[in-house]
Amino acid sequence: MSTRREFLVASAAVLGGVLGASLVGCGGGGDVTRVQADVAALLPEGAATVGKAWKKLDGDDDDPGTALFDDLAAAGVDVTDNAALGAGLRRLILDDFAQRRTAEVKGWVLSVSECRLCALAA
Amino acid sequence: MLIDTSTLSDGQSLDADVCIVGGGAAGISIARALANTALKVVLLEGGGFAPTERSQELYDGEMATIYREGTSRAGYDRTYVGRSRLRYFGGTTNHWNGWCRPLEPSDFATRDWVPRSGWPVTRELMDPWYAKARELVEIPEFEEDHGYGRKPDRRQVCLADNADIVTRLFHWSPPTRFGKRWRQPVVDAPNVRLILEANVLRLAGTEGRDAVTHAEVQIEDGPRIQVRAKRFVVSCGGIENARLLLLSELGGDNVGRFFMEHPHVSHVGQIVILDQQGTKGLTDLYFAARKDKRAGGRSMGVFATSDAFQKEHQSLAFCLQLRDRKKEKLNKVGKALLEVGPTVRDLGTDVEGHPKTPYGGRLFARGEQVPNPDSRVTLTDETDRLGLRKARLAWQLGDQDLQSIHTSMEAFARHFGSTGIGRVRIKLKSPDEWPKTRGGDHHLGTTRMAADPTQGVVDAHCKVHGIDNLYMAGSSVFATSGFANPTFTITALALRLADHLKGLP
Repeated sequence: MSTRREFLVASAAVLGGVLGASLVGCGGGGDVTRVQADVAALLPEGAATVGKAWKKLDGDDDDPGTALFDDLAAAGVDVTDNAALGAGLRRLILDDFAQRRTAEVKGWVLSVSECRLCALAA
Repeated sequence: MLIDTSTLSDGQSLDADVCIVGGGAAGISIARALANTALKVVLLEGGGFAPTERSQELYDGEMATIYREGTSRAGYDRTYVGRSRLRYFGGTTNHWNGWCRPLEPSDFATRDWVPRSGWPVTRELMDPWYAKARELVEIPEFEEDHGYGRKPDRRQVCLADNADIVTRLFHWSPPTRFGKRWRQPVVDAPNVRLILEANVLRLAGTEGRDAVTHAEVQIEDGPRIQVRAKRFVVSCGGIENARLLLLSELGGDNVGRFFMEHPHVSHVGQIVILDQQGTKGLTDLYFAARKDKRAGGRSMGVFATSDAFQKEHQSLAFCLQLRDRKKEKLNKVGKALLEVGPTVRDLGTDVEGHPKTPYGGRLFARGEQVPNPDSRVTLTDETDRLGLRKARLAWQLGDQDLQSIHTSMEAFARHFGSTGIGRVRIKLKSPDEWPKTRGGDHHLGTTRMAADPTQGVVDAHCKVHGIDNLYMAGSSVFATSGFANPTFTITALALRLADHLKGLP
């Protein structure tokens, strides 16, 4: 289990995308529901704007948080490990772009995973 | 030498080995290359050394841009035909911005998904002429080096190329105003006679139309003369080259057809840059358009789609330029992305309402269009004050041209996301609706080069098919356009043509 400081460094350094730096300070491990809640609480206000806009699109997930964390689990990411969570999110987002799993949100081409992440705050 | 036209008389005939019609980038390059040789050269320039309204008005014509069949946008920038080119010594280099880049090797190649693509010359064959052209446009050696021309202490981070997206560099000419910079070598050459304000009315052909006998020339407020020459080179620009051949009834049915521009979409999208690793370098290299030019920077990076991508997606050449916009307005999601992204500093400019970045910028696209026989220069029934029918331009873009912009933009958006650089907003509407598009004042293809006479007007040596002594120079010979600005290639082709002329008996 990594420390809060380790998670901060890991997520800010490796995610390097829309949300990486925002996740700094996410609380330590716990169950998935708690991790989701921790992440949601740490997302800045702007994430809710993105998440709401995405949820208005046709075909959005009923439960974006579950879908996101299912993907993380399927990728073998231990979401209770903060460092692994940061790296896993980064990988998921970059893979989304590489594999064309993108959504056009108000014209912005975003990764489906980052949309789901933002939806946690919406 | 500069000819004093007051010494000429009505009906006088001048003899030359080579008569060059038009003193722009191509004509001056050829005259300079032929200077101080054994060849007797006459260079006819319609204007003077300085611009005048009286000369410029002879370029007025009719514009009828049609983006897609059935959706006529006639009336789009009615002044384009007249204002996008300049009629005085130096030609359109007098308002050239200085962008230099050779066409890509793939631009010269036949691409089976691009109708009528393929030049009868290769990039490899052109490389020595590009090298010589550097002197004329005043750029140092063209290196595919991202540190080119920059201070050593400045970072030159360049995004790594991947399978879809590559970085390509433009180099800046000062820009060279050919009419000023290269006037003296032309005027000083004892074998070159430069005649200003020499309006060529037509090229007279033999009865069989297989050779040009002379040019009929009306000196402004002066006599009408003839210039007889062994060989004629027409280098008046992409619209006027076609017009002169049409007026002279020379060159066949393809004259004027296949007009191409570089479709410019200046609001094709926006970008929010988020990645701290790459942005300083991105600023240095990719945001160099205006700021760095003023600061003496000499190169600028653009993103382009790779050859492999174009082949896989049947798309056309395309490049994307980042433009810093202090007042770039983002929508709600764009502003939110700024908020949730990491703080990026040191970028020089800020988005309105977001004073310390991340950074929002505008994306500017420039693409290729498919050679299209219906995109063409013809003649109107209206005549100018010399009694010559004016040019009518119907610039026509097609579905493949638009589809290529969409496909390419989607690839760029994915690329910026997958590299972590940032996020892109694509500001295109439906796949069958053209965004606001303009040209770059590039007039290409109207006497295009093709080995097969049924597919073009000139051969690989720029000689008009079926006419023994008539050559075309300038952007009108482009078979396809690529995305690069044409002046560098115009100059290289002109030098190659001059060399060919020197070798003829």
